[in-house]
Formats: sequence, C-alpha cells, structure tokens
Amino acid sequence: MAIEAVELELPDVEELETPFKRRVALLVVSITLFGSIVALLQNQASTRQDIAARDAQRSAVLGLGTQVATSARTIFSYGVYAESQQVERRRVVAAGRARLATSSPQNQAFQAEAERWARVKTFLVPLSPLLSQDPYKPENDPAFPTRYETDQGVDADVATLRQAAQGEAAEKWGAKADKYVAIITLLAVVLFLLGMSLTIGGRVRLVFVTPAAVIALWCLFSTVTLLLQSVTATPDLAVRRVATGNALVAQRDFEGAIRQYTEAITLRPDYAIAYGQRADAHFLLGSSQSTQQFVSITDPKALKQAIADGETAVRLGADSSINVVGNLGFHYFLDRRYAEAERLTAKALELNNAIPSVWFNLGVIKVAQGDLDGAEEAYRTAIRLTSPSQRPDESERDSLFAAARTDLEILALAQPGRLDVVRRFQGQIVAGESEAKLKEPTGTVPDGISFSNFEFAAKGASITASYDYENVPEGTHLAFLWYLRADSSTPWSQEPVINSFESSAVNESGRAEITRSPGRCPIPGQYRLDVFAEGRLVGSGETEVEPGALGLPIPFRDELLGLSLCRPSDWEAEPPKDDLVTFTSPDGRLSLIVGSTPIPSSGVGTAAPLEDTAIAAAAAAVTGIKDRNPGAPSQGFTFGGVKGRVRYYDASGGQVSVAIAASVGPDSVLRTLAGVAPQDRLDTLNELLDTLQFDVG
Amino acid sequence: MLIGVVSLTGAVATWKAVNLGSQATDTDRRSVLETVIVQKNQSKVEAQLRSEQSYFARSRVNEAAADELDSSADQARSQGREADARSLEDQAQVFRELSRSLQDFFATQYVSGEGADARFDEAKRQRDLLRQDLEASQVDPEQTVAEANRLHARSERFVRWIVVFVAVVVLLTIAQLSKVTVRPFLAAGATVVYVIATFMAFLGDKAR
Repeated sequence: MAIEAVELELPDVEELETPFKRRVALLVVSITLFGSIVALLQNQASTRQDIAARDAQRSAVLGLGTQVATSARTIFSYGVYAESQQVERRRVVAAGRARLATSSPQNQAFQAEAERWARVKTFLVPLSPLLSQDPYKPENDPAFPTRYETDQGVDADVATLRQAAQGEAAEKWGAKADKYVAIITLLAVVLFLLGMSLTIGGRVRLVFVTPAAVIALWCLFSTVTLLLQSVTATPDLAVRRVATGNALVAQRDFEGAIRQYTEAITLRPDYAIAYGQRADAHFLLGSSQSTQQFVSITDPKALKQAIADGETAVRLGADSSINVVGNLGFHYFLDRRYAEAERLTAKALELNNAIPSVWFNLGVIKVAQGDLDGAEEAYRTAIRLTSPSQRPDESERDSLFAAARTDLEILALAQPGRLDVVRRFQGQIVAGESEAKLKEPTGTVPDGISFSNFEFAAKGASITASYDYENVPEGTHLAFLWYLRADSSTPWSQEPVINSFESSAVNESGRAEITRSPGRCPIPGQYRLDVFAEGRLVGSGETEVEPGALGLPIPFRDELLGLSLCRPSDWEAEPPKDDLVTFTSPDGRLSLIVGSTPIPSSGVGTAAPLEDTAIAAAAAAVTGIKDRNPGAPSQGFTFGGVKGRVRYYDASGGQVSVAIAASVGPDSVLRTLAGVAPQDRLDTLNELLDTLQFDVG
Repeated sequence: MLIGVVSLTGAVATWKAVNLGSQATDTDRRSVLETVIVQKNQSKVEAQLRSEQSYFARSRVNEAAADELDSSADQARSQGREADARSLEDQAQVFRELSRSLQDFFATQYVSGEGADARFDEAKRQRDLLRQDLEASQVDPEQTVAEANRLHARSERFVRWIVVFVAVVVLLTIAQLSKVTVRPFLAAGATVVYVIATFMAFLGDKAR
C-alpha cells in the first residue's frame, strides 16, 4: 500500500529585508561606530589619568627626598655658622682685652690672638651661605636665618605643588573617563531598545525607537561637550612661582609674594592654589598683626582683595581645601556677611571638624547672628580641641585663645550693642584657657570682687598697670589680659605673649601692680588691661602710650655681645667692631657706643679698679671732651640691667654732654657704654638707654 | 565572511591594546618603585655627606688654630718669651690632636691640600657615595617613565585602529544593505581600507 505524500503548508513569514529593519541595521552599526569612538576617548582619558596619577606619586616621593636633602644641607650650613660664631666670639673677646690692656705687655698677646681667630674664621666662610652670601647674612635678614631656610625649601615645595597639580589632573581625567563609560553604557541601552523594536510590529515600535533616538542624541551632545572640555596642564614655571611666593610669605615679603602668585595665574588662569595663596598674602599685607600666628585684623582694601581671590579659588575647585574655605568664611565674617560666613565655615568643618580655629570662627559668627546657644556650643568644642592633649604646643594654644578674643573685639566694633554678649563669650574662652593653664576647674565668682582705679606707666618697652583689688580670696583664678590697638577706629588686638594667669595668693584687698613688655621695643598706641576672675570680667582699665622721642623704634640684638636695645628707625647701626657696637642719629649729633668683653682671671695688667680704667680708656679715645668733675670719684650708675660707675664730660663748650659708664659683673664681663648728645636732646638718649638690656648670666 | 574577518582582526587588535596597556601599567608601577629606590639612596647620601663635611670643618678649624698657635709660638720665641712660646706650642699640640681625632669621622681620601688649606671634594664624595648603592645605581626612573609612556602611546594607537576596523564593519554592513549595483564598490572600498588599516596597525607597531 502506497503512503500519500502530505503537502505541508508553511505559514506566511514576514519578509526579512524590510525598510524598517534596514534602517535599524544602519542605526545599529552607526551607534556601534559611535560607541567605539567614545571607547577610544574613554581609553585616552583613562591613560591620561594613569599617567598623571603615576607622575603625582613620583612627585610625592621626589618631594620627600628633596626635603630630606634640604634639611641635611640647611642643618650643616647652620652648624658651620654656629662654629664660626664661636670663633668670632673668641676674636671679639681677645680684641676687647687688647683694647683694655693698651699700656700693658699683654696687649700684643691679645692682639695676636684676635688676629689669629680672624684668620681661622676665614676658613669657615666658604662652607656656609649664611657666611658667604650677602642676602643670607644676619645683618641683611631681619628674621635670620629664615630667608636662607625658606629659599632652600622652594625645591621641596615645588615637588609638593607639582604632586598636587598632577593629582588634580588625574582626578579631572578620571572624571572624564567615567563620564565616557556612562555614555557607552547608555549606548548599550540604545542598542537594546533598537533590538527590542525589531521584535514587534506596527506603530508600537516607536515606543522603543523614540527613546532610543533621544538617548542617542543626548549621548552625542554629551560626548561633544566632554571633548571640548580641556584638562589644563599646570606649567612647571607656574608651580615654581607659587613655591617662590610661599617662601616670600614666610620671609614676610608679602608684596613680592603677590607678584609671584600673579605671574603663576598669568601662566595658568585657572590655578586655584595660586588664587588661594594670593588671598592669604593680600590679607597679611594689610594686617598690623603679621607677626602673630593667627591673624584677624586687616585693612578694608586688603580684605576685599582677599575675598575676591578666595571666591575665585573656590570657584576653580579649591573647595576641598580647608585652608581656602575656612579663611574665606572668616573673611566673610570680617565683611559682615554672616550667613555666607557660616555656610563656608560649616563646609570647612565638614572637611575637617578637629581644627579649633575653625570652631572659634563658627562661634563668633554665631554670636554675630544672635545664635547664642550655637555660639556656646561652638566655643565649647573649640576649647576642648585646644586642650594640651590635643594641641601640645603652648604658644599655639595661647595664640588661638588670643585670636578668638580678638575676633570678638572685632564683632564689638561692628556691633557695639552686643558688648555684653562679647564679654560673656570672652569670659567663656578665658575660663577654658585658665583651666588648661592652672590645671584646676573654674569656680564660682566670689561675691563683691572688683579691680578698679587702674593707673598705667610706660617706661622703655614695658608698661606697668597698678590697680586696687577688693574681696579676692586666696586661690581665685585670675587672668590679666592685655589688648593693643593703634587708635579707636581699629579693633582691639589681644596680645598673647603678655597675658598672665594665676591663682591668687594675696590677701583679700589691697593695691598691686603688673608689668609687661608687649614687644622688645616700646609700641605706641592704646592699651587695655582686662582682669577676669573665674571667667568673668571684674575690672578693666585703658591708657594711651604716646610715641616717645624714639618714635617707632626697631629692635636690635647682638648675640655675640649679649645685648639688645631699641633704636629709632632712622638711626644708623654700624656693624659691630670687635666688642663694640655704635648707633648714630641721622644728623650725627647723637650717638651711643655699647660694648661687652669677658675679663681674664689674670686681669688686664692694671692695678686700678677695672671700671675706672675702662672709663678712662674710653674717655682717652674721644677728643675734645672735658671731665665735668675732675678728681672726683665716679658715680654709681645702673644701665642695661647691670650696676656700674659713670663719669660725665662736656664737649663743644658745654653744649654737648658725654656720659661714659662701665660695669664689671659677677660673671666677669666688662660692659661699657658711651653716650653723646646735645643738651636739648638728652631725653632721646635717656629713652634709648632705658631700652638697653644686657644678657646677664 | 569579510565582516567576520574584520571582526576577528579587531579582536586581535583589542587584545594587543589591552596587553600593551597592562604592560604600561606595570611599567608605571616600576617607575614609582625605582623613584623610591633612587630618592632613598640620595637622601641617605646627602645626610652622610653633610655629616662628613661637618666633621671636616671642625677638624680644619682645629688645624688652623694649631697653625696659628705655632706661628705665635715662633713669634714669642723670637721676642725672648720662651715660657709663652712653650705654652703656645702645648696648646697647638692639643688642637692638632683634636683635629686628628675627628679624621676618623670623614673620608680623608677626599681631602686635598695640607693643614689649614685642606679642601674636601664634596662633589666627588657625593658621586662615589651614590654609586655605592648597587640597587640604586642600576635603575633609571626617567628611562622607565619614558618606556611606560611609549607603551601607553602604543596601546592608544591600537585603540584608534580598532575604531577604523569598526568603521570597515559599518561600511561592509552598508554594502550588504545596499543595491546590488553599488554593493561591490562599497565592499571593495571597505576591503582596501581594511588591508591598509591592518598593515598600518600591526606592522606600524612593529616598526616602533
């Protein structure tokens, strides 16, 4: 039996090559091509990121190595300098003895010894730039050896800045690469949607095709935008300019630093670090507090410039630098933009909430806005972070507390109606500082305690305050805080170096005095002394110190001779000659010569008392003077903190006075001085003598 | 079939690009390690050099003081002050002993000149100290960095040619979808581009 063939009927199958499918096929390959181009761009960005990250790592290592080498070199140079100072001291001593023993057989031996040590010193000079290069010598560097140290540190700073720049570039390339990856992912989604559209028919396909097209266009737009965004490379010269600027800031040459930062910005207009550093330099240039560790006061023009640069730095990407953000927040406070100040200060705390200065800033900003609870909390945190266990350096702690009080004074000047609140929080700060210094908790304020009837007297660089005190029990925690300002238009600046904290050991009432020296030299201006007991203000007095005959004097110190004084800024200080140093007024009519020489135990070969011998030797060296009391013994005289003898002479027919004094102390050091002044300018010479201080062992 | 061949070539190029990229990354790491080795050595050398210079300086000061004391002794003797002369000579001897004792702390073979006129050859001593570290003297981080950059560039170059291969696939796909009359020309053009791209990608890399 035959089997019939079954006729199979195949169902109708849609045509495979439809126009829609052709178009989708073209779209798919185009998107694949586009995707490969984006992958190429991603690969390039990723490679740039890897290279920049590698270079950043190498720069970090190079920076560390450079710093170690610099430290070794600097320490060696300073060691050679110290060695040369010992040799120089031996020469000076021998020369001084030779001068005293002019009529003695020992004179030649002392002279030969002085010349010997002078020759020994010449062998050391080539070994240290501190001896051989003029800019680094002590007479040319007021903050010796800062100029040498900071100049040597530039190379290490360059490496660090290079590392930061390369790290920034790596970060930016990495961000670009990540965005390209996101675009590739979206293109995969587009391909998925197009594939889905092939599985269905009719107008429903548009549900997949339309979003696919939109996403593809968005990817194209994003790719072009990313491609046009350049990642700026930081020229090496710009890095070096910033490093040089940093060195100049350390040398207190703020104008020079600003020039360097400006050049760096010219080389790279979006250099955030340069803007941030320039902001700080502007602020310091306009400040009268530039010698303090934490600076709060500056002039309005400098503040505006600092704010402008700080804002630019943040806009260009320095918003992760706590220094830039924190400083800008404080600058906004000084500019009375309290809301912005709080915003930025809070941002700084997000970056690092363990920095006490930022918490102090937040405290004063909260006070400015009337948020007293918030201020108290901020100050409490700041004081806790300023404890000895957190901040072991006492001078840093003192400076932090003083700066916080100065900030409150700034607020008091801006908002005079909040003085009581300002005093309240100053008291909170004082209580915290007092507990840290006296290592005892603050107690309750004794009833009826008061400090009053303040009287002030200024002598030389010192200022003395005398006052009445009442109802001060023994053991009361007292704080004596000094403030200084140029005039009433500027805020009070709290001076940390002359504060004192004590636990009262006195009887309950009486009169006492306290003497402090705000600097090495008299500082004219307005002074205020606040007395706090157990963290509460219990007395305050103010005075004004007028510029004296010395005007605004400059500190002078000679380590070898062991003396310091304050000379008028227009007086010439000649380089020390042997054991003598000479100061002369611009018109040459006033002069002061000061000397210091150790005396050998065998003496200098004279029988007469050495002080009188020294006075006679000095008088003999000056022509045209006449002893005012010939034959009379010399008089007792205290100068520079040492007791000695003095004789007075007249010159130019009595119109010029000459005083020659000498002192031989228990440390066997002969100290001498000779002062020459017209009769009508003796007060200037006396004021100068008031600032003279010898190092007495 | 052409699309398959091109895709295979693209896959080989991708493998090559990844391989070179991996080598580049390894070389980057090696350059950082070499930098550490070199800097470690330089820091150690700098510290030792300054230490030796410091002892040399002190030794020279003592030597110079001894010379001056001897000179003063001669002068005293010529003036008939025999006691002073002997005292000065005694002091000179002490300073000379101090000078000699310090010579144990620096490499005397780098000192030229005599007595107080002696000079320490800092540059030569530094060079020799740097060479002492065998590991540091055998590495050259700058050269390694240059090698890493070359590998990165080669890898990037292959990625660029991958894009060309994808473009060839696109062209072949367009050819497949086109009219019969145009198809051979598109296919031929794509093939020519593919051959040139393959030649440039692989043989061009070998030439580097």
